Amino acid sequence: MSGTSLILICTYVLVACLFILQPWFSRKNVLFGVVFADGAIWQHAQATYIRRRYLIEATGTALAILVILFVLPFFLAKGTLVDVFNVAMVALIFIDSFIFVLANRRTRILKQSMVPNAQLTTDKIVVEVGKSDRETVLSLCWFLLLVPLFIATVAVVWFGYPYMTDSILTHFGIAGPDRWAPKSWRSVLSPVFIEVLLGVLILFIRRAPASVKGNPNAAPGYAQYRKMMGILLIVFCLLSELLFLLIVIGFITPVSTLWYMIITLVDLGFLITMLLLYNRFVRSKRSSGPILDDDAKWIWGLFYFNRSDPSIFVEKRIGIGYTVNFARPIAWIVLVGIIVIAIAFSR
Amino acid sequence: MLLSIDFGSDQPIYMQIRNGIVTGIASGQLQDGDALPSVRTLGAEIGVNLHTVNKAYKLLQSEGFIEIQRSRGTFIKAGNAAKNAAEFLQASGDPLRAIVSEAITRRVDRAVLHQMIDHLYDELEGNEP
Repeated sequence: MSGTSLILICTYVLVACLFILQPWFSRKNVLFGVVFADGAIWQHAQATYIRRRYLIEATGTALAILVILFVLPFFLAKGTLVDVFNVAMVALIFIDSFIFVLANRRTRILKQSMVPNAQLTTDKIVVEVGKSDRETVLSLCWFLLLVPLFIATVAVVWFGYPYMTDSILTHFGIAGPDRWAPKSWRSVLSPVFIEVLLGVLILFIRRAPASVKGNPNAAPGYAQYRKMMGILLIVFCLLSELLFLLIVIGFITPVSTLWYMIITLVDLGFLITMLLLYNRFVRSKRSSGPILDDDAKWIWGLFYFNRSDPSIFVEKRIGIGYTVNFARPIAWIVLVGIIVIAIAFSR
Repeated sequence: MLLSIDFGSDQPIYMQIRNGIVTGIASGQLQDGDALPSVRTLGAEIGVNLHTVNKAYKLLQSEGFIEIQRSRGTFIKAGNAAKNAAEFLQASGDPLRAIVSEAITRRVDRAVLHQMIDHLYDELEGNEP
């Protein structure tokens, strides 16, 4: 088996595992995007059955696609492995998402069949006042950390442009650098645009509210978690800036691949830290007190749509990170903007 | 201090925010100099339009309960409200008249109504009854 095939299969297995383990990437009182009064739902017999069924279906799908991924290249001409991988990934995302939606539907039916819990309310919310944004929201001063490397990247691009090679590397594939473009301001400035985009995204998530509301103990310690996630994302942004600085320096003079490898390894540490933070501040916390029953605002338990919520970004109900409030036009603009920029710079 | 909002109530949300903060000041849970969350943060926490929170804050500011400093944030400044006590008494005449009228109509004893007000005073000021 070639190195490329191994990397493709490892990537596929990683993504499949993330899909299969989705029920565990949520607060204890949330199951398939449906909120309950407390974590007791985790031990409920019917809930266990829904979870087990999801596990079997999602794992079965991932394995079936993996077999196809293995078998198909034998029937196809050499060099189409990446295409098969891309199709397999799209199939995995769509089919496992569909299986998740079915599990969400079963969980909603289960909730309707249960005796209503007085702690679950649709029209009351308790919030804490008496704390300033300084205590609960990440300070803008943290963003100043991003400025020096950004200026350095712009300076290298601006002053180094005449010395850059005629062919500019524009894409790193799974197996390393795989796409180049003729030298132009657009191609050399693309790392700078991506840096700005990352910074703006972190600015947006600074105030993202918790995915479970109702009272301050519905998501205990959330403000602290959000601040730490913000700092972690700024560190990630700094690493990306460093990577982009090396890339633009690489347009002028060769840079040892060792540096890229070091940054990639540090990025891996970033992912592990994020997982640990999530486990410490979200997964292991117990919700208590009145919980807002806002399942109607979470379409299929995945997409947040709430016209009255001014938030553009909110904490994901399933998975680590943040999602957009699809009821806000600016959220669509941000989303479409990201896709357009991603497509523009991948060409 | 905890602020409770009832989406099903007939009372507008901005008034619930306003009344909750005034109650917090009366009970001593919010004191002069205490910071309040920004309009954007409180709107996101409750899940209501920013104009709703802004309306509540503007009302509290005009009544002298809070001070909005453009660069630093929003702070409790109840000292200003004490200066407007005469205006408050004048403005409270009509709602108080309505409550007393209803109490008379429902044959509620004058002493019971007095006692109720005294009890509320004690509860908010933290005095033992």
